[in-house]
Amino acid sequence: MHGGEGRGAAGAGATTERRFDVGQLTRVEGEGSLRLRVRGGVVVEARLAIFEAPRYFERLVVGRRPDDVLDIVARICGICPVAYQMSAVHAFEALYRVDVDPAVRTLRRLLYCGEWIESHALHVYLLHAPDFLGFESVVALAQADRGAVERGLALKKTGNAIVALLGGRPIHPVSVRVGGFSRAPRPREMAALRPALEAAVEQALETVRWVAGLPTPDLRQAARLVALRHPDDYPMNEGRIVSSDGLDLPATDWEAAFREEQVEGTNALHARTLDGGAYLVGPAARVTLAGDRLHPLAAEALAATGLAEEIRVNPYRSIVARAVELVHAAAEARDIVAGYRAPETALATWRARPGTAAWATEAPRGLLFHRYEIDERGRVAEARIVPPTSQNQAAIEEALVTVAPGVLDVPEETARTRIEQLVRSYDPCISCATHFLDLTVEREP
Amino acid sequence: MSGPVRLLVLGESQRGDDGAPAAAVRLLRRSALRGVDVRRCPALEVDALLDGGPFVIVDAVRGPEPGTIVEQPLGAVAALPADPSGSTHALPLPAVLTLAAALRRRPLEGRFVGVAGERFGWGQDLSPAVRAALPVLAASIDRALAGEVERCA
Repeated sequence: MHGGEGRGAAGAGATTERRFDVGQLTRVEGEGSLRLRVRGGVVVEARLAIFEAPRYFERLVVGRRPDDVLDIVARICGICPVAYQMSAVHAFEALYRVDVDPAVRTLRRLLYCGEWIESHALHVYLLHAPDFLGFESVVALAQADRGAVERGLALKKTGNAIVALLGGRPIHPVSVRVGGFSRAPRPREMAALRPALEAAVEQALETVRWVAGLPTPDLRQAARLVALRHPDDYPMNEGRIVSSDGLDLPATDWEAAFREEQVEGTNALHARTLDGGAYLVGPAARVTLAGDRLHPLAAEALAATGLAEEIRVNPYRSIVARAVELVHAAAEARDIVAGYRAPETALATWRARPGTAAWATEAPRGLLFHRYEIDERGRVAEARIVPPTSQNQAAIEEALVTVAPGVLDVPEETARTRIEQLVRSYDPCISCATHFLDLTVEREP
Repeated sequence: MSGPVRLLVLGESQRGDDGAPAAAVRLLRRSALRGVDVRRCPALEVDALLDGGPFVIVDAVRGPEPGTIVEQPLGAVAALPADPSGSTHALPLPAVLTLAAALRRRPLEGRFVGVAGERFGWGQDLSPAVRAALPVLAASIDRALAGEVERCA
């Protein structure tokens, strides 16, 4: 079983078993199911099962050169391809000691801002907000509140436009290269983004006000939080891995504090701390651990909600953290575009060398760690990719155990909705999370 | 308000029979596309439906015998139940149509033209049944466009 065997849940009779099965989770990325089973008031099973087939990307990159890897790993996710490219490119550049133009560093933050905007807008408006308002889907939300959905779609379109300009296309961008970009935008192309970004800042601020006022279930689940932290910037591409209980590591050293393990009944690996503990990555962790690095507009918006502490302890409030990050990404993108100067060298030269290339960046859903072993020919000999959903899966199951007492005595439909809403609070990307630790084929004679 | 007819050509040409819509559109006479707003969309995004129209949407479908041509008014497609096994990285076609209609505050005008595919794996090759159906698919698209153009006139 997963998620804390034997922890009590009040409200059920001594022999009564209540079982909540959701055969296919909706409004999450990918294919998964969940099961919560409570017997005699005790949670006997809390499981987020990921049955989407594994895709073996870590094997697909073996034998490939770094620039090939950047295009291959982008295919892991249609929502957060930039994140996969950023973790990989920084890993290679750290190993090869590539000195990238400072303007390239800024452009990479802009690219990440675009991805955060489109991913967060998608999740807040199309996937998660309908839960809080009792709507079955975004279609019903659109019928009741057209303005809200239009705001979400406008934000998503702006995020897509940023990724398309810098990456060559809005999904699975192709311009990121070891050493920089294959092409830097012209100033007039960047200037064309300005009206949409000015509007996006206002739309994001309105998003914060909107989600802060949504009726939210009460839950206290003080998870261990993990995120990058940078001395100057809100964490995206650089920083140290820190935690709410004092961890402080270089971005290359994720494996010094965490491990992955195969768990029966799921195609995703679970990541835990070396002592076996669950932890949480993502917007709530970032806002809590690096909130003092938010753009002033985002910090002000967060303060106005008065929900900083709630974001830390109540997973349902992650939607507020996501909205605050929308403000941050839109405002930072606006500032970068306003001050844009094309890099003198869009693509720095580099020379491959053998060794370990490792790095972590902040995907929209949280910390994304990559490690590649590079051989003497400059090709990948081994790869490890640890996506945020793998890291959050144990924390999600712990939260299911915590929420169980509150749903035992409510009607089936309400209980099911509450449980699904909780899982969606983590914005799980199941497609990203499907990978195996190992593949064993047993053949009988 | 009606504008020029918008032809939305869905599908990914690198995924087998999903490339059939684009292949069929290449068979159309140039005159069939005169005054038509043609857009390629690997996946249908709601943005493509929020202005303009009427629409002719072409896509590959699963279910019927491979090579079968499927034609429906968009309203009928919007009323179909969503396929729960579809990709969750994009809304299913009925949901996109319904969402667009909700945001426009009126039903979408136009037609859906599809061809039943057999293989949707890697590669550009079409299955024999779908390749054989391309002229019929092209003729169906031509007819749908002509019908919508006439309705706009």
